[in-house]
Amino acid sequence: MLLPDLGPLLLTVKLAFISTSVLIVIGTPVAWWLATTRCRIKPFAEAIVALPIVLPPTVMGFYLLILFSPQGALGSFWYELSGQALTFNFFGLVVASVLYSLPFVVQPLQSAFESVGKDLMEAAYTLGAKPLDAFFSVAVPLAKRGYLTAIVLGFSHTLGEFGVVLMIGGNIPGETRLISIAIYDHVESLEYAQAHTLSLILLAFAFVSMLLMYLINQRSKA
Amino acid sequence: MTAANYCSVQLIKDGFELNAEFEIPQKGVLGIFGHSGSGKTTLLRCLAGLEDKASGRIIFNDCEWLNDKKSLSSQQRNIAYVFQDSRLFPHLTVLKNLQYGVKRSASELQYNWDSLLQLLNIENLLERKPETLSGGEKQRVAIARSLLKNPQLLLMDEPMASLDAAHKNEIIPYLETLHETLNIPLVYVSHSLQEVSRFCDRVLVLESGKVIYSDTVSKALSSADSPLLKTQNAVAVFDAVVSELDAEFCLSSLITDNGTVLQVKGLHEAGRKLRLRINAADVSLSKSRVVDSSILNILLAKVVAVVDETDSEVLLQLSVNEDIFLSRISKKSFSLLNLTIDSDIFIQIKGVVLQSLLD
Repeated sequence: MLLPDLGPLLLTVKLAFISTSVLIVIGTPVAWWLATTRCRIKPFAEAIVALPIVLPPTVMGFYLLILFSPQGALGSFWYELSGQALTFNFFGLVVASVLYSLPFVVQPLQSAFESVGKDLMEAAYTLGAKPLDAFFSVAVPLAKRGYLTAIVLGFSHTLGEFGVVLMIGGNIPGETRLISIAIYDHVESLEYAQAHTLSLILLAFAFVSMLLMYLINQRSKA
Repeated sequence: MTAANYCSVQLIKDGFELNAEFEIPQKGVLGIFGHSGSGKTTLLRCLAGLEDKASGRIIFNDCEWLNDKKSLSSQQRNIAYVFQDSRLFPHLTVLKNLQYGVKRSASELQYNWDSLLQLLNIENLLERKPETLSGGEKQRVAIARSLLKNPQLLLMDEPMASLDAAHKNEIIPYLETLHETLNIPLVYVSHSLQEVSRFCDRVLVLESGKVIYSDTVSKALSSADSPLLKTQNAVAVFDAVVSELDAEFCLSSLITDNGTVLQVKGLHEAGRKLRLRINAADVSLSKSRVVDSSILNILLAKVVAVVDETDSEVLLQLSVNEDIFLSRISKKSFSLLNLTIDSDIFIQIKGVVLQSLLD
């Protein structure tokens, strides 16, 4: 009974793992820039990064579908480059997830970098550290808890996405059929037992990850 | 100007204008003195390369740090900076904090690691995290960390400002020893005249972002045109070398660069350089050499100037071999002694305070 559902579960974990890794790499410079810039466009940049928090996933999915489709701006460019569409495949899901979970990674990193402050960075510069060296030897270790929070939030948020995935990924087994879509399918076909199994897994995971995050934050206050 | 170490910086920041020009000495301690808001810290930050909007020209050891075309970043300037608030890295142990600069230093370490740690008395703190240290300990670690970076120029921004009196007293002896042993120039920012008179060789007075006075500390404390001449509690300071010892009475004779000899209590190591401090109120005058006096230090001096006058007292400058002493006497005595400029007069010094007392 559980066997056919192992596919969506593994695919979802794979997507969350890849998206979170990409997000940490992309989110770090974005968060650092937001934490340190005095540029006037900062609020605009912050608003754009935060959009996925308030935007209905279907709205985001709809625009991404248009953008990613082989006729769309990004989709046609990608089609020229790779001969593949961005919609209805796994790679498209990774791109969408990265955009969708961006605020959940950037915001904790940004506030962690803000609390590191410029004083310690200056101390590092006067001790001979170049900016990148100072960043990795001072800012990153001090933002450790911010990174843990970002990883937990980014991973769990990607795990639970539904609307965006449905719009641009569809329901192709092994390619785009993620756990949340599998649950939806099961409920539609009145297979409550399977829906229960998958839902419980997600519920347990969500609780454990939130607990983990609050434990991390509590320790940082103590 | 063609001096080897020269600094001229301009910076406008948050409505404040800094425009300072001065020479950085090759050796010794240059004090930057001024009240809060005078731009001392900003000036030091410009020297350190921490203000990217600073313009002007800085040349240090034949290297252009700042000119019209370029501005070297902090890590290229080979400086070290001791901040007011120590700024130790909280995620690293004391040992790792100390090693941070050592690892990134281009040149061979010129300080002996063990003796520096011993000098600053931090050998027992190495495994501790900064959060467990007292304010004084933090600042001592910060000083060691900056020296171990092996800089050509050491910058200190009020390293004692955030400490209470007890912790200040804990740091002062170490700074005094540093003053004696350091072979690179140190620029020391302070708003405390006491600190400046204790550690600095030269002093630069900053007001509203401009240098209004610059001279040796001795001159700055005793010259009539100096903004540092305090009319109340005036003091004169001298650097002198221990020349002779009197073991029987436990006295040391010290000689200044100008050849003035003064005796102080206690036996000190011959050849050691000490800073002496003489309060104007402890210097009395006499027309003839008093022979039956308990006072040890009696010198023949010339009246140079009357630098301050109140209803009841006058503050006089007196020179002995070009060393300037200050004396505060009553107006009545001044009149009775019938003193004029260039009069010869004996000065009797009741108290000589030694500043470097680390033994």
